[in-house]
Amino acid sequence: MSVRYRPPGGGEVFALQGANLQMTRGQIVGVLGESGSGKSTLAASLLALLPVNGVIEAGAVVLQGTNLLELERDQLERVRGSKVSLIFQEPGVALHPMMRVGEQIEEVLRAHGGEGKEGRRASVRGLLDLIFGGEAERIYFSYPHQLSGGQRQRIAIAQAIVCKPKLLIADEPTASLDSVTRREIVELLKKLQRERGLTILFITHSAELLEGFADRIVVMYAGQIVQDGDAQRVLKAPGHPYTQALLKCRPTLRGSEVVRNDERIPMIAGEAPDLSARQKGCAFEPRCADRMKICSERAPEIYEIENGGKVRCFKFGG
Amino acid sequence: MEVLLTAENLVKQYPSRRLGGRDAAVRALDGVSVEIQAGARIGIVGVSGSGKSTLALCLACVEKPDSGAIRFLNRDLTQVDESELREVRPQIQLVFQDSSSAFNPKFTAGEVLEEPWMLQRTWNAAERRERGAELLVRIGLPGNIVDRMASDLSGGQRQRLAIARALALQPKVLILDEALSALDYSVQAQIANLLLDSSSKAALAAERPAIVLISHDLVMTARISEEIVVMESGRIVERGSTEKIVRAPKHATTRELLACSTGVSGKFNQRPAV
Amino acid sequence: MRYLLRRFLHAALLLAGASVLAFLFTSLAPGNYFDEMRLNPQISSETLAALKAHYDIDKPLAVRYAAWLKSLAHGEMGYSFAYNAPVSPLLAVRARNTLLLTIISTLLAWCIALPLGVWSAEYTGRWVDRVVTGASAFLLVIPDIALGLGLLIFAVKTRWLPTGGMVSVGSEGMPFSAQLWDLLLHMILPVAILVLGAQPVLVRHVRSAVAEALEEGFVRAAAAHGIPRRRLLWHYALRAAANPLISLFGFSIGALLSGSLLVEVITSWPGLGPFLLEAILARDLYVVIGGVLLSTVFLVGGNFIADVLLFWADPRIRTE
Repeated sequence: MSVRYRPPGGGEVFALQGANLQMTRGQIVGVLGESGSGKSTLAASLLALLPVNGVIEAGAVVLQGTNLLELERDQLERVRGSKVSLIFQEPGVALHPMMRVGEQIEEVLRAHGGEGKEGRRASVRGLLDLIFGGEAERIYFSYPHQLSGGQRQRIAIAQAIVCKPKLLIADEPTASLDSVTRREIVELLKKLQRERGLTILFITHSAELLEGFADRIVVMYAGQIVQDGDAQRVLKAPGHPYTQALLKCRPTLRGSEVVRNDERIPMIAGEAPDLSARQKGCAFEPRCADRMKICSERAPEIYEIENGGKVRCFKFGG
Repeated sequence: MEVLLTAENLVKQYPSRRLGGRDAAVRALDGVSVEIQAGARIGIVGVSGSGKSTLALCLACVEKPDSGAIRFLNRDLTQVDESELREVRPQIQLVFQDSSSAFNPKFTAGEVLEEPWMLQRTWNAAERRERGAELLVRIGLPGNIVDRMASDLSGGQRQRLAIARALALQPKVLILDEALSALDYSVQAQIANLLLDSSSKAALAAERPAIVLISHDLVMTARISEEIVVMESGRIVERGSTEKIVRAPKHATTRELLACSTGVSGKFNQRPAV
Repeated sequence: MRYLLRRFLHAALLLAGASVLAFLFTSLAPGNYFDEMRLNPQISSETLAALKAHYDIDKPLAVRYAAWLKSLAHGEMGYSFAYNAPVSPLLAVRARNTLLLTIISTLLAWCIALPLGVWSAEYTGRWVDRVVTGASAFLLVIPDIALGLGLLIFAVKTRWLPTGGMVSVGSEGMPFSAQLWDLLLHMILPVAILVLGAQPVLVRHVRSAVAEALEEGFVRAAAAHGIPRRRLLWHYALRAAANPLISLFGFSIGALLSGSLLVEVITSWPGLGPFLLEAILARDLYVVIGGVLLSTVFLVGGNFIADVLLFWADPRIRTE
């Protein structure tokens, strides 16, 4: 998939270049990337939800045999929310400020047909009982501004799963929440995967959330997928120099590190590349600690490493 | 080290507008006392609603506590009138989580930086330009940023600009309220290094601010701070050196924060150096 | 609830203040009704004095105001010098005529502006939007009086519509349905002028409020959940755009009595506007004050209704 944006100031931004991703049922795939890596563009294009100035240059999104990008608008509307769901980063912004949250979940059910008003209400109450337990009754009748950030995000998740979709895409769902609430949301998602066989694509810039949660991790940089492999392996022994550098940036709580806190934290020199021009060589090359001569001349392809992992780096092939 | 800023028994209440519609007042701060020494780095951690942001606002004299004292260099700031407070404010600077509303969107980055100097009437235009450029270099922003619109900057650049602006007046205390939490890790590392540099012993004593980092992220806080204070429901439940808090946490809240700072299997924070 | 009570008190205070000011200003204006009469040699000065005493013209302001307030409590608004009759019934008839026109025009104007605005916002930049925006701009530029006169000429030339007045001469004798039809025909012209005149502002506001709401995160999130576009437009975006539109609606209500003066004059519609104008020129004190107060009631009332509607529509205001 390749996606290009036309920003209001003119010119073009190549937000996503040649991204290939496969997911099998029941998998939890984590997409790890920073701002500008193309991870949100990827999420939006999976459901053809790009803003007006975004163009899908090439690619397909094949869900169980159907290419979603070839569907008509009303067919797409039927897929969204019922077969594939998407939740966003800011739950406060994703909910209508003037509608009760219970009603907003019912709206999703209503859009995908089937039950009458009573049936919908019962389904939603049942779902809220599952997610909120004792407080479900009060929460059903509240407005978004009366709920905390964590509660709002749980409502967004309820909206996303009420029609029992097969795939849930979560785009930085915990970025605006505190660490304890973050963990609760991750645990909720894990529970949903276990109990409903939900496939989850979890996009984040916080690597630690994926540990023990994701089965596979995909790392993105400058609009490309640079690594794709088993979660444990990627976190313990990352192959791609970017993944390595990124994980080094995050401090640990190991005793030795905690006392040395006058020392600087390792960081990645330089800034992320400007995506308004297509790069000739590897996008990470200017900042890479392991760069070689070939890296500035040609762009690396995806190379397979042992155990089915993939890395886009000349260190592993080419 | 001398004690710069202390909060003594702060109490602050807000009317609540949560579920149920009852006008129950919420005690954001319930008898909080904190001591900040010159040049120290102290972290205040807790979840949303623990009162840490309210504490930040009170320390920076943006909000007034209902009771308690805030002493800065032996002057009680809660008893002082606005004109005296205005003299003190440049010495206690506050940086928020989201700087997108902290700048006038019509300003360039350079103008944002120079504004505090203009308001304080220090230096003329040429000197301001020069100092501004120096400061930008210090915080690791490229020189050409001076003429970019503040609203055009990325999140990480905006935060760095906000910190630069806060450092511009050489404050004695720099308070950061969740200023790093929403940023990418590589950017967090850059800003953390910036903070470490500005408070390192190598820097001039006059330019070295005390740093108060308020966050829910125990990992980054532990990395930067020498001392950690843990808050819950408006109270301080545990405090101590970073090492003690991380290695031997006593209170349940501290242990919960530690547990939640890592992934579900708990190994990420103990991962060996790569 | 306390919020609504506060708004109501606010409104009541405004009205009281307006009545005092109205009284003050009209009384301070130079001249009174009887000065005209003085020029008439046929009326003796004794008659004049007696009339003046009868109407309490020479009493101090405060006394007159108090008397007027007392009669207001009884539902009376004083006495008209020119018509030699109580003011209330006079105003009532005229106000009814005006309201007939304005209520229908306001409803019609909003019923047309809402779909046009929503449509325009949905297809921003496309030809639908350009046509609507262009037509609105065109209408905005034409002064109401030119619009009115233009339509009047059209009516005169084609003879399809009556060219003035509220009912045809001799219509009292006709059967009810014929009377109704006659009334309707007479209303078409003034209503058309009012509706066309109101369109540009309404459409523009609806369009911008809806366009802004469409950019909001919750619309995008709802689209991601598969909510069909039509429902997004009307149930989500328009609802979120309610706040500024409700305030505007409050102004529409506020202008129910006062906004149609020009049209009434052009089409000789026997409404409140021309009546008040006449009374001002004749210095018919109590008619003027009564008319001003009535208009103020609508203005303040319109605002208050808007407050109530906002309270009902926006839960964030309710739980404040």
